[in-house]
Amino acid sequence: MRGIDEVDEHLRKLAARARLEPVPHVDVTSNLLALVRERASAVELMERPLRWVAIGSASLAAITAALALRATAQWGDPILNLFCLVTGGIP
Amino acid sequence: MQFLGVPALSAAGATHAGVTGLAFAAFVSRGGDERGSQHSEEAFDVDRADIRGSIEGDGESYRRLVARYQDHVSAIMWRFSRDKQVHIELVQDVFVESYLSLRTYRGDAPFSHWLTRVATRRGFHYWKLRARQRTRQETPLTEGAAVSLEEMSPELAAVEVSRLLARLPPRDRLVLTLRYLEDCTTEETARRTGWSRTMVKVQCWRALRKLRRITGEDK
Repeated sequence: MRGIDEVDEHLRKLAARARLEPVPHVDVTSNLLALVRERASAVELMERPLRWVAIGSASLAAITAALALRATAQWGDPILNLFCLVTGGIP
Repeated sequence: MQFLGVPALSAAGATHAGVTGLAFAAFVSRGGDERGSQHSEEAFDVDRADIRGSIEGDGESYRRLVARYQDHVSAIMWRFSRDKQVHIELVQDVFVESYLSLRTYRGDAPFSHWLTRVATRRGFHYWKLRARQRTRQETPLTEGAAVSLEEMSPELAAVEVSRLLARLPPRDRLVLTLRYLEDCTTEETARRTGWSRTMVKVQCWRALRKLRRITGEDK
């Protein structure tokens, strides 16, 4: 099995040779602006439903909290009394 | 302002980048004091003017920026995919992504450094996606394995390196690509990946060990 130094040396030499390879020329200026427009509107569209989900879950949380408070005020004492009656009270 | 019908660096773009969007304004007002030595003052000013124009929605400014840096980005993305079609798509993706997050460019380093980081991140993301999609797809041996290093053409050497590194997980592949193929120092690799220097050294060591095991298994 090769040693780490051997692998390092081999990779170094191979990469030095590979760096001499010419990179293919690309020209993306022509259709890039259309792509930008497409992607920006996609991002915006993606965010719109998320905004509604956030608003919805915040509203739901507020309603649940209000109902829980009301239930505690109305049913808290009877439930505690029942619990004490059954279990003999909180130790 | 509109950029071909797109609100100039719209709320969508700014949120996508995850920033408040004031970084560039701060950069313009302080004049970008810390400048890279490679970048001349003039080029830096030209970039700055075009970035400002792009943020304000001037499509022509961004087109100029793209024209100036597309070869640089193309060279980076060629390390991430040797498929010409994918390569072009990756280059495009880098420029689209950089447009959407242009406000995060703070101007304390040359634009090319920032763009290089965006490109590296995009390439790494591409590798991760590919790694998830395929299950241990073995790359076939090329003729490079039979040719000695001195006789090997640069193209064949590049294919051979790519073939070797493709057998590693994306993180290992990235660190070796940057350290060997791109000839980056530990500091440059850390800057481009966003990892610490120690992390880069450890990752590089682990990657070499994995590569040693893989090449050992081949023999």
